[in-house]
Amino acid sequence: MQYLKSFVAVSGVVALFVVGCGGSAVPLDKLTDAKATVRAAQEAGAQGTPQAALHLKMANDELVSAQKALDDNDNDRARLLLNQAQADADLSLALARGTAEKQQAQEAQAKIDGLLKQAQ
Amino acid sequence: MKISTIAVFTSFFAATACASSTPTPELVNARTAYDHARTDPTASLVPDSVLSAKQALDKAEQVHEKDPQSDAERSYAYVAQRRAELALALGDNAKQKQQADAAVAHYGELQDKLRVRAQTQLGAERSQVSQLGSALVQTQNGLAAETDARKAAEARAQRAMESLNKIAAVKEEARGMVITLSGQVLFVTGKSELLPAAQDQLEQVAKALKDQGDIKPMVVEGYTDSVGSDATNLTLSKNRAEAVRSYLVSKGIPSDKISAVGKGKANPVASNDTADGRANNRRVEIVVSGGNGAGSDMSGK
Repeated sequence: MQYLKSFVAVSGVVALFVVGCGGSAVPLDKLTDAKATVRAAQEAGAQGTPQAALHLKMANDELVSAQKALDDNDNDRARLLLNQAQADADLSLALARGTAEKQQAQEAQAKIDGLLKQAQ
Repeated sequence: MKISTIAVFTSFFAATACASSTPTPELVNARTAYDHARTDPTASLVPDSVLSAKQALDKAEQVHEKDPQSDAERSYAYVAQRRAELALALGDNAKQKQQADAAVAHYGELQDKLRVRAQTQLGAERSQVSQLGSALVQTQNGLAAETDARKAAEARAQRAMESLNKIAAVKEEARGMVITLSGQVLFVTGKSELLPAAQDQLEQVAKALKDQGDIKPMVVEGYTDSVGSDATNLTLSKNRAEAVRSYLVSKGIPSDKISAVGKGKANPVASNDTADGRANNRRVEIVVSGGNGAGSDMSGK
């Protein structure tokens, strides 16, 4: 009985140690959010803009590394990499949308120029 | 005592090391990026994003304080840099969007203005067209009226010629239209006073001449037969021509359009050997120079 108790205690310590080493579990949301943002950036045309494409690639690389860290039970590292992946994906999405907005502004201006020319 | 001294020293060193530890290049970049975002005018359009960039940098600084030169510092600094860049990008987007919205609004205004202008122009053109149309109708009406008037004038001239033909002999000659009036009808023998019947006849002649519209220059020529002296005949023919001229002027033929000459026994139209011939030679001719349209038409028919 005494033996069993001590076994449980040791197991608990070992379990704590293992968890402590890998850090607390990474919330699943972090991974899915980062992936969703990457998809959004792709859909917004990130591939077509050099800066957006660069950060999209970084985000994807970081996601791959984060997945690897998760597989290795290195939760702290995974958490950091997912933060980075999210930050790069957000930036990529913003840059891609900016390009689209710039195009719209240019198109509107071109239409105005066309009208003005027509009016003359 | 000794142990506590060592402990104090150790903690002092630790604190010093911590405070003075050099930041990672990532943190340096993050600070620079945040400074940029904080001062950028376009980023000020997205204050929430600038705030989250600041929070990310604060987090990186905390990690740097606690665990300098660590992977965690690098990672949080990396994220902080991206957040600052994100604020700049979103600020830029907001500015682009403002410009695009303004351009679209401007485009709409411009379109409305152009539409109004086009409509105004169209209206002006339409009224111009309708004005031209009514002017055309007026012109056509004017032309029709003119044509009618000309036809009426021609008809009147024609009628005048016809009535002239009834009351006197009318011939077209090279010198013009010649209206011949018999001396017997006009005058008592040897006199140059017009008979009442002659006055009626001349009144009709005057009316016919005036009805032809444009009154042409004309000459009243008096002729006698060969009986009597040339001087007497010349004077008589001159006086008779003058009498006819005066009468025609009194009936409305402008005096500057009509003159009178006495020709005596010249240009006989018949033999002076017979009574009939001499009667024919005693005459007054009204020579209308150049004829006129109606007269020419008459001779052409």
